[in-house]
Amino acid sequence: MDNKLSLELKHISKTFPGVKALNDVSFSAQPGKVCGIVGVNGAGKSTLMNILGGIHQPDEGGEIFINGEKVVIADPKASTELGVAFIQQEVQAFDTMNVYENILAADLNKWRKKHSLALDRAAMKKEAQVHLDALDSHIDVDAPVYTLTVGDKQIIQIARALSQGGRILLFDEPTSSLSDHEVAMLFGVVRRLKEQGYIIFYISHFLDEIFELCDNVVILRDGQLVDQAEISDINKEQLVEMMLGYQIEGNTHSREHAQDEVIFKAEHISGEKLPRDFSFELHKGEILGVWGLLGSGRSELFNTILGIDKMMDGKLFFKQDGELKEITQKDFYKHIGYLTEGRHYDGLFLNMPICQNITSSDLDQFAAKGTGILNPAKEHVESRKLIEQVGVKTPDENVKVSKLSGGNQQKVIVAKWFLKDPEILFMDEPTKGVDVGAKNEIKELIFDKAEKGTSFVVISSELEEIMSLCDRIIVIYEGRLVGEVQKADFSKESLMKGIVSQEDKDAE
Amino acid sequence: MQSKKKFDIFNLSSYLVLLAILVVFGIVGNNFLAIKSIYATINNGTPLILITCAVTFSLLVGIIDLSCAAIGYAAGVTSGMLMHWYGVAFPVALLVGIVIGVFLGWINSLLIVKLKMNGMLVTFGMMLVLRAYGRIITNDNTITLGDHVKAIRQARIAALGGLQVTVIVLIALAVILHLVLKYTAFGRRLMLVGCDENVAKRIGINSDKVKTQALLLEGLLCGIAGSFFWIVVEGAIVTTGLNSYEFLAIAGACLGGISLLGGRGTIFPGAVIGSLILLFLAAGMANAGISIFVTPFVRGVIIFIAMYIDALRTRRMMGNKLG
Repeated sequence: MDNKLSLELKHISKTFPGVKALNDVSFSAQPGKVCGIVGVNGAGKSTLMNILGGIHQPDEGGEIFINGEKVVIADPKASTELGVAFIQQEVQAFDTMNVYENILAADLNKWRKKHSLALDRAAMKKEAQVHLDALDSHIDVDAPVYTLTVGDKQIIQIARALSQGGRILLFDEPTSSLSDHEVAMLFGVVRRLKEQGYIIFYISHFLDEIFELCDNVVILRDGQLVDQAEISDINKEQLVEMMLGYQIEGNTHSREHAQDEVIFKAEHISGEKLPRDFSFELHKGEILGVWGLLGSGRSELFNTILGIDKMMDGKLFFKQDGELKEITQKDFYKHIGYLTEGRHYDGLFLNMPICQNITSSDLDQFAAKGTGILNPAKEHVESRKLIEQVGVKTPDENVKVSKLSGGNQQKVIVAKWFLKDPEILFMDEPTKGVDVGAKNEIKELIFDKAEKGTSFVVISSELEEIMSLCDRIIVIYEGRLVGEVQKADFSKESLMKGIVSQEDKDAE
Repeated sequence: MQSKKKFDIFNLSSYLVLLAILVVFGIVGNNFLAIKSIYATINNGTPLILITCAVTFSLLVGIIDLSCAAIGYAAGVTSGMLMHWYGVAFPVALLVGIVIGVFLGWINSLLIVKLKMNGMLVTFGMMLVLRAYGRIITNDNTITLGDHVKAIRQARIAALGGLQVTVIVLIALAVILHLVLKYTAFGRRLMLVGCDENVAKRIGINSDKVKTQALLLEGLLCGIAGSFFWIVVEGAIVTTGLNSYEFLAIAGACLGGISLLGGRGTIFPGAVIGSLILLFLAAGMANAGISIFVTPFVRGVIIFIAMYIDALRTRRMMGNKLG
C-alpha cells in the first residue's frame, strides 16, 4: 500500500434549494484508522457521502484533497477512479451470477481473452480469489450468489470495491440487515482492512458499533461539523448530546392535556419481523410520540397497524358510537390519515397540481352522489382555503407539486389530511427535511388540530422535536414497547432509559 | 413562477402534427380535403378511434394492453356469427358482443390485478387466444353480413353533408368518455393510481379495484368497437379484421400525449387526435398514390418523433422532481 494515502476535505458546503445540507465542513482522515461519521437524520451524512461519490458537487469554495492533490469528483466514475468505494446498506449483488462474476462485474472488458470475445474465466477466478483471501473469507468463488447469506454478499461487495482499486472505503449502515454473527464477521474484515492501511469511514446509527469499531469519530448536526474526537476521549452520553445538540426550536407548547377518553387501542400487535407484541392506547385530542432509534421498528409499527405490512397477530379497537369496538384494518383506514416518511416515495402525486393532491384524500366530498361527477369549482375553493390555512407559499393551487420546495410540499401533505379531517392522524417524521421555520409552522398546525379533538400518533427521530410536540411518548426498541414517559418527565435520560436498559440486558 | 397561459408547444404538438398532415396532403393529394373524403376516412377509422380511447384507460393505470384489438375482434366475430347463423337481430347481437368485451376485460383483470401477472404478456397471450378463436368459428372465411347491418351502415345525415350515423355515435361516446375521465371521481382515481400507485394506496384508495374498473371499461369499449363499428363499417367479418390495431391504438395514444407509464393523458385531444393523425396519414398517402407499403414506414417514423417529444416532456418533469 502506498504510504501517502490521505483524504482531506476543506470548507465543504452544499446548498439545496431551501436547505443548507452542509455548512463549511472540514476534516481529514488517516490511513489505518476507522473513522465513524455520526449524526441524526438530516444532519448531512448522506450529502457528504454523495459528494465523495461524485453524485453531488460541493458549493463554490469547497476543496477535496486525495493523496495531497486537489481533485474534482465530477461523477461516480471519477470517484471510483480516485479509489473511493461504497459499501452500502442495501447489498448490491447479481443474485443469479457466480461469486467471481459478481466481484469483477464492474470491468468485464478487462477480462477478455486476447483476440477473442470470450472471458478468461480461470484468470477471473484467480483474481477474485486474491481479493477474497485478502478479506480472509472462505466463500467459494464458483458459488452462485443467491445461495449465500446477506453477510457473505456484503463481503462480496467489499471484494468488488477492492478489485476496483478502492483505497478509501465508505461503509454506509452496513450492518442494518445482518445477524449478530455476520456483524462480528464484518467487523473482523473491517479491522483487517484497517491493518492493511486503508482509509475507512463507517456510518452507523448503532452507537455501540461506533464505539466498538472506530478509532475516531466525526459528528455532524444540521449540516455542520460539531466535533471531531478520538473515540477513547468520549463516552456514549457525550456523543448523543453532541449529535442532538442543545438548542430547542421554538417554545415548548403548554396546552391543556388530552382528554381521558380512549379513542383507539392496539393490542399485542406483531408483524412479520417487527413490531413484536406491541400494545398502546391513544386518547382523544392527544399527541402521542413514538420514539426509538432507526431500525427499532417505528415505521413498521405504523405499517402493521394500518395493514400495509402484514399483521401476524394483534387486535385493534376504535371508538365508534361511544363504544370501543374491535375494528378491521380496512375499516380503520377510513377513519385515519397516514402521513408517510418518504415524501417523494409515497406521499405526493408529484406530477399533479396542488389542488388535486389536496383533494385526493377524500374525493367523495366533491363527487355527486350516484354519478360520481366531481365539482371542480368546490375543489378549487376548498384547496385554496387549505393552502391558506397551512400556509403553502404558492401563486395558486394549479402549480405542480414537484415545483414546490420541501417545506411547502410537506405542508401540502398536511393540507391533504386536514381536508379529510380524520379522527386519528398517523405521522411518520412530519418535519423531516423541512427547514426550521416550516417545522414550527407545522407543529403549530398539529397543536391547533389536536385542540379541536384530532388525535395524533407521531414518529420523529429528533428528540427535541418529539419532546416539544407530544403529550406522552412511548419508546420502541427492537419492535417492543420498552417505556412510556409522561410530558412532565420528558428528558433525554428518561427516554434513553428504556433503550439503555434493554441494551444492557442484551449484553448480558 | 411562470403564468399558466404560456404558449405550451407540448400540449399543442398533436394538433400541429394533424394540421400539417392535412395541409400537406391537401396540397399534393387529389381532392383529399373534400368533405366526403374526410367523412369516409373518419368513418373507416371509427373502430381504431374507439379502441384508442379504450386502451387509454388501461394505459392510464399503467397497463399496456395488447389484447384490446383482439377483444374487439372476438366480440365482433361473435355477434356477426350470431346474426349470420341464427339471424339474431342486430341490437341483441350487439349486446352479446358488448358483454363478451366486458367478460374478456374481466378475465384480463383477474390475471393482471388479482394474480399479479405481467400485464403485457397476459394480454399478448389473450390476443393469440382470441385471434385463434375468431379463425376457428369463422373457419377462416369472410362472412358478409349484408342486410343485418345495412340500415345502420347506410344511415347518413343529409343536413351535415352526408355524415354517417356511426360517426355521430362515436363522437357521442368520445364526449362521454372525455367527461368521465376528466370530471368524475372515477376518472380522477384512475389518474391518481396511474400517477403513483404507492401514494394512492397510502391515502386509502383501493388501487386494485380502480385497475379492475379500468380494464372492465376498456373491455366494454373494445366490445363496442368490434361488434358495432367494425362490423357495421365493414359490413362483413374478415379474419384480418382489426389486425395490428392494438399497436396502432397504443401508438396513437402516445402521439396524443398519453404516458405509457400511466397517470397522464386525455381522451380529447389525446386519444382522439392521436388516432386521427395515424388515420389521416394513411388515407393521405393512399390518396396521393404512395405505395401502401410505405405507410407503415412513415407511421413508424412519426411514432419515433412522438416518443421523443414524450421523452422530453418526461425529462422536464423529472428535472423538477429532483431539483
